[in-house]
Amino acid sequence: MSKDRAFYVGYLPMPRRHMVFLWIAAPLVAGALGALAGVMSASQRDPGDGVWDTGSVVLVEGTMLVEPYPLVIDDGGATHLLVEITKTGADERAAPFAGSRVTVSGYSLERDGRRMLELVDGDDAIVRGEGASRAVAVEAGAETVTLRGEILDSKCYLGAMKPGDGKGHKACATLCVTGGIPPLLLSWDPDGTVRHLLLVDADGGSAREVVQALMGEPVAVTGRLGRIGDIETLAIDATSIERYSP
Amino acid sequence: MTASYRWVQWNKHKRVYDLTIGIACLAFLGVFVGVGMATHGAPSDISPPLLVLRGLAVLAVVLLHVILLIGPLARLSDRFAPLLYNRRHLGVTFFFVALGHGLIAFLYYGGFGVRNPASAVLDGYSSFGSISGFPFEILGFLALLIFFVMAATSHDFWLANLTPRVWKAIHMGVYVAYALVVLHVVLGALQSERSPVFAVSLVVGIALVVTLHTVAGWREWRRDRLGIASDAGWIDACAADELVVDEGRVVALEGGERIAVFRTDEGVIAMTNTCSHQGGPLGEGKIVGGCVTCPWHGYQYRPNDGQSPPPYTEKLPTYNVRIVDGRVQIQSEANEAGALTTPARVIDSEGAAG
Repeated sequence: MSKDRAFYVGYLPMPRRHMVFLWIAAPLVAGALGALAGVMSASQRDPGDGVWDTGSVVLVEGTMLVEPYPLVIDDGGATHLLVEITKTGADERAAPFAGSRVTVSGYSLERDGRRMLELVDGDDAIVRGEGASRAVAVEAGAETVTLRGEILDSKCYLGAMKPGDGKGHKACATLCVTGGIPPLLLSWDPDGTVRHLLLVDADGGSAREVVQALMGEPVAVTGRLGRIGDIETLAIDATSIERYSP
Repeated sequence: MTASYRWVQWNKHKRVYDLTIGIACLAFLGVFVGVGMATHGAPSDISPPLLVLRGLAVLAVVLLHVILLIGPLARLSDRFAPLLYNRRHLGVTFFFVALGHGLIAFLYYGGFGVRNPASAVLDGYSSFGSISGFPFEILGFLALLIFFVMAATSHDFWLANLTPRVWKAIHMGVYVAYALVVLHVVLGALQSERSPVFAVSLVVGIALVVTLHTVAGWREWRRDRLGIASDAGWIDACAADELVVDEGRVVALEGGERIAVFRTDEGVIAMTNTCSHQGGPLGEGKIVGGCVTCPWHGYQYRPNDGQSPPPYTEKLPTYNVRIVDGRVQIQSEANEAGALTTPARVIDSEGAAG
């Protein structure tokens, strides 16, 4: 070392040796970090194509069911799940209209052909319709199956939060289902076909309590297949769900 | 050095440093959000709060690695000293980035529901015995608590009042927090993201931190092993003519204590190698303006008595030095902090004294 060794002291002028080094290194590091930010952001997984349209109110006319979850089956047989704004179910507002023909007003959430309405505020969100309610297709099948997949809260998955699945979303999914959002099993058939099954309990009622502990995790679920309108259901009990390693 | 406390003792370098940090963080976040919006367009768009949450998360992890790398890099090459000088501001910036990530996660995932957000996010219904069910949020929360304590005590006021030893112990908590952050990422984001980019980047980051710390530590360990013969309380340090005027070197005693030895125009002096500020290695510093100057933050001590020049009040233990047969010898028993010593004069082969 020489007596003239460049020595950096923060409150003194920076030695040329350090200055040159920083002028060379800083742009290189900045470029590398910028590239890292871009690559990481582009590498995020696809959150799906759920759409939550909060810009326009949609009217749906059909028959109201409140068990296992509030939903309306329209005249075309399509099932529209009903939820409230925020992470709560619509049980309270839907209850007086059980089995009735209704017109509901809400904001649409839709993904892969699954539909949901987030009810608007106010007393006219659900209005009793004219005429008698129509018979709706509710089937409790006998076939028992075991499906692998993830249990989701239907509202976030259908577009309220993107992505609305996975480990990072687990706490939110649990909170949503605790608050009354219907739980959905997202499963894939061996050929890659995505299946969405509304989870119900063994008696066809709400399965919210049953699924809370295992939301957002890879699970194997055994239950009886059924159907409400155009959505498949899977009837489960507390022993039906097991973790598995994908 | 401490005469009175201000929030920040600003100088040009700190302003440039902080401005660079601010611009770099905003640019990083901007690139992340911008690229995320461009590559994930509607209808496969990522919710904006989540895009920001993730951008802050990635930025926080990158900043944490940079912070952890600066230390060993500066020990390996003094070219990195300007990065070390104001590292605390980088640390506080990192804390606020991590806090932003935590708050968005707390409010967005835990809010708008029937339970309070803390309960929703932190107690969950998860299982500590399962990778897929492990409540990784708790790990991030614990890390954030450690970072909060570090950020809150980062000012020199706390350094002086907690004592450097306690302060240093608290701030070594960064390694515990780093481990928590790694586990938070592994048990959280990496359970959902499918691209190998995230896992590979994390592994590279961990490898850099471990490797550079190991190399820097190994270099110090090898230096400390330079055997010092003991002679009735006097330690043989080196040949006097090995010392360069205004430069220092570190001498290790048995038991690990390190001594900074300097040659000044008046002769050879010795004081503890540990700067009273943050424990910087004084022996790797230099004589600047007649004072031994720490390479980390420029704290200064007068060579002959180890005292900071007025109005500053820091004092370091000094050591008596003598030269016998051209060898520098240091008395192993330290003097009291601030005790005056007499430089040992060196007679060069050309006959010059100093």
